[in-house]
Amino acid sequence: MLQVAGSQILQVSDVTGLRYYRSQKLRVSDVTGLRVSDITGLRCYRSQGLRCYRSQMLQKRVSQIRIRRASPRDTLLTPMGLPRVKRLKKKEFSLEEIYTNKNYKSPSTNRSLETIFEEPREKDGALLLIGQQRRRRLLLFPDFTQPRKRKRQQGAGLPVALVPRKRLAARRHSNGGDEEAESDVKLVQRLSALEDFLTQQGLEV
Amino acid sequence: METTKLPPSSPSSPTTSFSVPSAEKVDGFPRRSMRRARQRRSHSSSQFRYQSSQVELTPLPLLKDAPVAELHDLFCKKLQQCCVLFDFLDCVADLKGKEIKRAALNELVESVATSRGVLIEPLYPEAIKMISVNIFRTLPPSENPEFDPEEDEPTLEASWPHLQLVYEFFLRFLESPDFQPSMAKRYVDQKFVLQLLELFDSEDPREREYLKTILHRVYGKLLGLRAYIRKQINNIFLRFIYETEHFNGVAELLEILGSIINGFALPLKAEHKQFLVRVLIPLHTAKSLSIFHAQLAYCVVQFMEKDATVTEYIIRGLLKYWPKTCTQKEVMFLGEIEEILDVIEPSQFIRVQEPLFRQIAACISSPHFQVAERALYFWNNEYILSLIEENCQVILPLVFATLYRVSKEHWNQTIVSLIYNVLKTFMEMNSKLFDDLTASYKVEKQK
Repeated sequence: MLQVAGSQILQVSDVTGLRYYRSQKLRVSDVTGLRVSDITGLRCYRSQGLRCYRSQMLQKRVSQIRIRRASPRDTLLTPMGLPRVKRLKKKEFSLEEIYTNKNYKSPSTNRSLETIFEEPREKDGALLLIGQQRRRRLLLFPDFTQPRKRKRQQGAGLPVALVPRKRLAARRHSNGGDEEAESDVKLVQRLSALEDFLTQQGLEV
Repeated sequence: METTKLPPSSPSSPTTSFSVPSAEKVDGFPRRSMRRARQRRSHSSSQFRYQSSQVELTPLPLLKDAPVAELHDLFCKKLQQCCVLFDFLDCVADLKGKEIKRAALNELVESVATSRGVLIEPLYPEAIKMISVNIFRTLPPSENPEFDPEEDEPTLEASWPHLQLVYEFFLRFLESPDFQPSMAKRYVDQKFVLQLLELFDSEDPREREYLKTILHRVYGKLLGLRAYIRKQINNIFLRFIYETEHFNGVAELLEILGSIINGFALPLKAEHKQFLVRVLIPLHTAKSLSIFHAQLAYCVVQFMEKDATVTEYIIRGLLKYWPKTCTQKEVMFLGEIEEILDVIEPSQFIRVQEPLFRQIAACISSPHFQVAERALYFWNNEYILSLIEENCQVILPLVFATLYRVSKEHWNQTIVSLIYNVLKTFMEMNSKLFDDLTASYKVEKQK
């Protein structure tokens, strides 16, 4: 899986609309009103399996451009034209393979370390310097578009902070979808009123 | 593109290394034709006195067959055999000798891992000597000066067939139930540790992985070295941040630090808080942040969970170093801020909410849609939403004008939709305040 923090982001210069790819999956959003002639060039960065190419694309709409996700192992060359190093997938290696590093295997990503106590802790009469539980010492940034489970509460809990949220949640769900629709209407009314006022006064947003 | 040639009068041969003019780059990268296969020229190396005094290894009896009385002596002889270094520039040269050494190393690993009573005092200096001789070496300059760990294949250590076993031996030695820190500390001293730390710059990820686990054990078991190790890691990071911006082992060192921070005693010592402010926060400015961001963010959040009062230092520090031109880093910073807010105490949140939400408002108005989107998704986080609602009077005025303006001006429809959701949330939270701010906005615009 691709992490948001580590992914290469598609950047566009001089563009008025964009087709973009979210990390973890290819998602295409075709923005209305896009004129490809406004695009003077696309700068792409290679992401895992994503093959990008640079072109002028003057005559095609962006929505018509297909970017195929190619399997990274199909090609003999890396995107920069260098020979791709072959990694052998087997358990037994010949002497030559060992001595030429063809048996290279990336270190496991599931690395974990035990806690080291600044002050030794006593357990069952013995002094412990290092904990027994191994943990991964990195923050795995979750998909921010998905709702997340609340982590353990700090201190004595958050009664104050939680209550207003519950009120809001209660208000939202008490009347099912009607409450939601009513809020939408109210918001649109307020924003339209503001916009009309600014227009009448000849003011810019 | 031709190799740049020196004028005919020059006595030197043409150089193969030169800076690539920007015209020859495609999207900022040198053309394929510019890349030269780097040939490893085989000089007579200063490390290997190969030609003059080549040591012939003869196979010794197996450790498992040795009588108990002779075991330690044989063990020592094998350690000494393994002090002979081989030239791996030609990987398959002197294969016989290399195989004898590899077999001996395998035996030593097996013996330390499985047998009890093997590690007696006389073996300690021999073992540390064998380890030192093999692993401590000047790392070769990178074959690719523009090595990008995320894109390029790393340059692998040629002597890995032997080196891996030496590291494995060292690790088993440290983890052996017979290991005596009081004995080891005579030989695993500050000089040893300093050389160990320098090896973290190896490009070979397998080597760094071993070094990480080994240093973790050394730090854990040899208490007398802890302060020194922390100090040297500080130096490495500070040099990385302010001088070279090059060091391959930042992520591994941060992982070790994560396990150390997690074990800090309370109250937090001033030295540790200084480390957070003077080293960890400035580490966020590195160009290569994406390589070690996960480990760095873990350390930062661990500090917060240890002592909530450092929260303000952390958030103000991140705001101070907020990326101004690199949107990729901006998205990373926003991700880290969300993780921080997810564990923040409400009392700490109040201390930082104003400067924080000014920055969030600036991110929302970013023309880069991923930055704006990332910031807007904070409102998708239930806990953050509860903090916002609790402090609506302060936060809404900070963001209202930006939200309204951006909803009218942003080119990306998804951003506009997200903003409408945020405005709706605010309206539901406090409709009176919302209306007051609308009125103030009108007044402001009329000025």
